[in-house]
Amino acid sequence: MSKRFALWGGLVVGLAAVTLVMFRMADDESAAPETTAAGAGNSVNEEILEPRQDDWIKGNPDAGVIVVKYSDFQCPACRFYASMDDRLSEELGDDVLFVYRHFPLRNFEHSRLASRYAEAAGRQDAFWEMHDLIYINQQQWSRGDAESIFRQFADSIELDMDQLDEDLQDPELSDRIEADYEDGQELGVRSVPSLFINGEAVENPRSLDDYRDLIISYQ
Amino acid sequence: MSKDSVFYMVIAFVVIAIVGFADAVYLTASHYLGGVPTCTVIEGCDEVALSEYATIGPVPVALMGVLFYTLMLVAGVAWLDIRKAAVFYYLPFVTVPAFFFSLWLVYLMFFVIEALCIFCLVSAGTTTLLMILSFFLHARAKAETV
Repeated sequence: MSKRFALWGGLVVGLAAVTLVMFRMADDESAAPETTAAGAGNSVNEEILEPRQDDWIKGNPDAGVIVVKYSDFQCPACRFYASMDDRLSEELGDDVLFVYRHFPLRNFEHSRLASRYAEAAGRQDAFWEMHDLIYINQQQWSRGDAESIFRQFADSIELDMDQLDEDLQDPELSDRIEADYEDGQELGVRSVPSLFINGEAVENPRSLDDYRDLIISYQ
Repeated sequence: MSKDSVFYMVIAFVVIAIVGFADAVYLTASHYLGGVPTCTVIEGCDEVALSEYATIGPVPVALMGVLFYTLMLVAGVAWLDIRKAAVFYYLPFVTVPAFFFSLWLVYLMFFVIEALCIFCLVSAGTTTLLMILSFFLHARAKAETV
């Protein structure tokens, strides 16, 4: 009888204990996202987070709220945030400025190539068009022939293909992406997307409503 | 199959089911507590847990895993209690579908969602091991009933 009690009692107590521990672990994880950039706030980082002349921006440059986002074109979570940025840019209009910075993770095969195509398109004033096409069709090119799909995008937005090819070969283009990446590292970015609002690292909002509320709280 | 080997097999079965249970509870907890969707340098993406495939209707797939591993643990402890292999007779009827379901999820992860989820892979591994062990234990149950 006591063995039976020990077995079944042990099972119930054991499962309860495991459940408790796992919930604690999951809770800790969600409470402390890796996005938290420890170094944000000091003067070097404030400088990095200032919108620059060569940044890709969407919105009003004089807006009271500036959202700087370090993002990766192949990261599915980034696609999710890109679509939210679009919605909020439309909704909030001149009240907010979105700044896109490259943070291509090395564990994605085509991230850097996507960044290069976006940059090259940018030289023909079509960064955001290319940005949108890349994110919207992420699932397609992520598992296909990415380069030929990017070329189709370029063609569809009527880029000068000869110029594009020339720009793609330009080492300055890769340097620019690398510079964003290094800035991100300096800021302590460990995951994408990483958001900074008015120079502060913020926890990624989980929904469009949370994101909107967060931006509004900085107005 | 000696009595001892059945004992060790059941212990292995229970240990693997505990690992699977812990893993599935963690995924379920993450689902309900809601981590922030990101991709990290080392761990890949949370996208698997956020994808449309993470739930069937309102039920998270991870919660089904919790129920599956609980059932496996009950079977293991039942054997340790009454020492009759009959408790394992119907086991493959649960472990085989669970294995194929797991296989489907791994396929989705690699070829449809294209994002890595380590905890999901662990669960696929434990389900596979439990299925293999369940064949032996089923055979034992059959032998005992003859």
